Amino acid sequence: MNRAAAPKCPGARRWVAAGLLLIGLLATAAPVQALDRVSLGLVWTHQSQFAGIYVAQDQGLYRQYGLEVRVRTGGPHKDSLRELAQGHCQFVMSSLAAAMVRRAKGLELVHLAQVVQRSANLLVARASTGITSLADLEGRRVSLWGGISSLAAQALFRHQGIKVRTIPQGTTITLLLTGAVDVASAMRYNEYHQLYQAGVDYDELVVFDMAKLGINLPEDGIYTMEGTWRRSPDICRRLVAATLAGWRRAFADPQAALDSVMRRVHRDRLATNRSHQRWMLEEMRRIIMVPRDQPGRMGRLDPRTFALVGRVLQAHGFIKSTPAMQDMVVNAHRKRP
Amino acid sequence: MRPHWLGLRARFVLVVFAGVALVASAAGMVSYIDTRHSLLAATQERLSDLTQAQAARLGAYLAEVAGRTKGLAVSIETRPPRGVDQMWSMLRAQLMADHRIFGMALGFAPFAHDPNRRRLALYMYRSPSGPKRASLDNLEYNYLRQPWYLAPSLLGRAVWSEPYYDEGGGGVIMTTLGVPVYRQGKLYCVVTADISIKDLKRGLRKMPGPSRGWTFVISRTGTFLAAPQDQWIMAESIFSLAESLQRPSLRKLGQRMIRGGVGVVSVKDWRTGQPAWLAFAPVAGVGWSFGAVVSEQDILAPAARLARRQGSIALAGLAVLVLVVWLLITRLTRPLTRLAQAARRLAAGDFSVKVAGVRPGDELGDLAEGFNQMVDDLNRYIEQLTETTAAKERIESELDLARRIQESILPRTYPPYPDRDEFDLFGLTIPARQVGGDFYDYFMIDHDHLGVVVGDVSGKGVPSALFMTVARTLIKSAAAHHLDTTEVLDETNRQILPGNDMCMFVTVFYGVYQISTGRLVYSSAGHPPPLVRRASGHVKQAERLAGMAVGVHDDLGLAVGSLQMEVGDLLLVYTDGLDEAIDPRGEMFGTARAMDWLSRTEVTTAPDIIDRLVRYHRAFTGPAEQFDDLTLLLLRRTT
Repeated sequence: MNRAAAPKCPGARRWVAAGLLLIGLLATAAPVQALDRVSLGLVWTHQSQFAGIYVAQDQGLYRQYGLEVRVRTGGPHKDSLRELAQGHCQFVMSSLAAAMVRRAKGLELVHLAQVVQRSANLLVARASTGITSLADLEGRRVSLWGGISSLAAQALFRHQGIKVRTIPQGTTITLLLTGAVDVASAMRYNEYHQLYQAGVDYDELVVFDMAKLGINLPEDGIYTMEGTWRRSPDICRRLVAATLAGWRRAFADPQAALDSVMRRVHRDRLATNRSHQRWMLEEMRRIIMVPRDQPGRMGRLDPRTFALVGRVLQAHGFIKSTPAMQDMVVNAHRKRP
Repeated sequence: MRPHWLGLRARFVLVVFAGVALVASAAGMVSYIDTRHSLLAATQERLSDLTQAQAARLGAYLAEVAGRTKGLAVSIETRPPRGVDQMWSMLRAQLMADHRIFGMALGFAPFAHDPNRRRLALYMYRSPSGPKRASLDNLEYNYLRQPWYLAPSLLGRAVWSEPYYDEGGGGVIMTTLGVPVYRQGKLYCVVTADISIKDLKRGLRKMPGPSRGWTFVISRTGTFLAAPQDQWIMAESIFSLAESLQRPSLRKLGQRMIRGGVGVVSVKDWRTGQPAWLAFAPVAGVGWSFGAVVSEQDILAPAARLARRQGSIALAGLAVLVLVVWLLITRLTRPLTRLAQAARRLAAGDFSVKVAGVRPGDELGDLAEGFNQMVDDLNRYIEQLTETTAAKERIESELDLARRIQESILPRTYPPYPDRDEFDLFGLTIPARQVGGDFYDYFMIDHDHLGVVVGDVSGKGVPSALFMTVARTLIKSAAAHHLDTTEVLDETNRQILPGNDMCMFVTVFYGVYQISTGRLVYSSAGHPPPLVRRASGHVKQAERLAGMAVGVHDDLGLAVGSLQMEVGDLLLVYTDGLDEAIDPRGEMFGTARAMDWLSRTEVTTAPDIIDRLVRYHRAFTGPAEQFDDLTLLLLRRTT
């Protein structure tokens, strides 16, 4: 299983090609332009969830946009918004709900662009537990991520009037696999496939898809402090444009994107494998590149979604009032007016 | 006929070689298949036993750790530690007692130990400088949300965690056993023990495994805990391999393994892609599965070795066989070669040749003996032939002598009477064989009378010649006493008849020619009448007279004829050798042809005319063999 090693050379070639292109661009278009150094905080450890960012980094898109981006990983004990608030990162990825709560609590952040259009959030039960419908969840042990992360599930239970026994869910799916819980939170691009890679067939699982159930609380938007946006809207726009370009390129050349992912995975000695990351990348395509007949374009935040997130947060007492969209969402993905 | 492209020896050796090689390879094939079958069966059994033994051993290893942890749990349950110091010392005692345990923790249920304290968790682990203490009750870590705490507490039983990277332990992969402790029906705490996967892997390596091949351990989720490939550990599961290799069968196999299955299956080694056998057995208590993969090539190595050895033995045997057969064939065919050489020498004319050194008693001995016998017979036959030839030559030389004697008997001088110029006379006999039965004769009876005789004895060869001599002598003798021609012939007949046991006879023309008048008186004893050519060139046959051949009967019934010859007339007396001669087509010369020739011919001396007649006659007969003697006698009146 050396599939990660084999495409390294093409990756390197692309890198070199991108570099040459960049040099060419710099030589012709811009006279000696200093790169703007910025940092971007992720919400989790390296995985295909951020493949577009890696591609933008590895294939010189950020440099092309005059940026030198330092990527800071997240993790179970890190909160990207706190990193932003504390000034460790100028830019962070975050879910809309979490960002809205922070904004409501007074952190002056702005939403630059919405990468993920549809939430990948699921509740997964093993079919062997006899659960077939939402009603069957009544009284069951359900492991949920802490706080905002399980907002959709909580909204679902509230909406359906279901009482469940909530168990805190860590970073693994062990509890569901051992039968310690009946239902677990899962991202379709991650835990759902981890279950598959733990030998559980898809038809052994019952899935409740939050977005399909009308609770689409999308993850992965790009945020920065309002001050940064005011001071350097150009840098913000460039970062967004380069990141979105990175995603397009990642989907156009998944193998190179996977190479970028796996390089980081190996560097950080993360316990994951390429086939899992491939699955994740394909799932990211589905939630980022929404088909044309459905609402949602990469970068854009649908006002209805914004309103939904605000309503749900209010209903659960996370916020008292929904921030004004025109204050929080600046649409940095658009061309300068 | 198309010749053989290989010699007898090579053909024989080739046939033997091909036959034996065929049998040997068939036997080898059967043996290989059998060996392969039994090897595979035996290896399956052995592999299965070994795998189960190792899985059991690994299970026992974990069970010991589990036992120690559970022991601590029981002691806490029965005598809960009063203070934190006592907890530390308990942890330390257990940690020191088992070097396999990397660290142990006590995680108390909220407010269970101290009603004022929600979180209390102690962790003691090994470090290079001895056991170290660590507190886990910080909010950020929040052990109450960790699987090692949650799983045992929710399931109410000891649970081995999924292996994980230990953040505090320098990236060491750990698996943790969590044992829940209950007091008064409520969760009191969870006792844990950590084992480093590194140790597990080392332990696996120590286990006696299949000589060649590799072993692995997968967790409940199929994740590799121990495998020869470090990059697989924790990162890949048997299912992720199945996914990336697109092998659903491997996924099914993985599911069998993590559900506690036992088995031996034929697989394609997912490292090398080569055919292999995988044996697997569950590790009791922990939900892991132990697997051993042995490549089929390694399993079958003894079969291959055996096949190679058998092959080389067969090859060596074949080589020896070929040598032996070659020698045997050479020995067998050496007499044949000798025979062939002898036959060639014999054909070249060497009749002294013998085939020696061939042992009698078998077919080739018989052949050689037969050949020698043949040469002997051949020599004897040639000897006899030589003798016969010599005898024949002697006889022929005698016959030749006889011919010359016979020739010398007949008057041969020309002119016969040099002092008489009234007539010209010449006779000639050409025998069909060495000696003939024809004869002619002439003699002066008195001064004015000339006797002329032409005879033809029946039969040919020596008896005829002898009979002829007798007849001629008798006629000549009778002519001396009698003038009448019939009397001469009758007298001769009388002389011959009594002693003629062989029943031979002779036709005789006897004429008496009066030189002064040219008148010829004659008689014929069964002889053809002579031809007369007048000086005018007219030719006619003389009158045919009655009379039987001398020697047939005592009364010959002879008659007397006469003929007047004028000056220049020719008389030709002949035997049937002239008119009854045949040419190659079987046509007879005939009297008419002789008369025609005689009428046309130039009249010269008698020998010359006879000579030309003979040449004409020879031209007619050509190479056809003549059965009769030819006798001609020509008389010409000159004055």
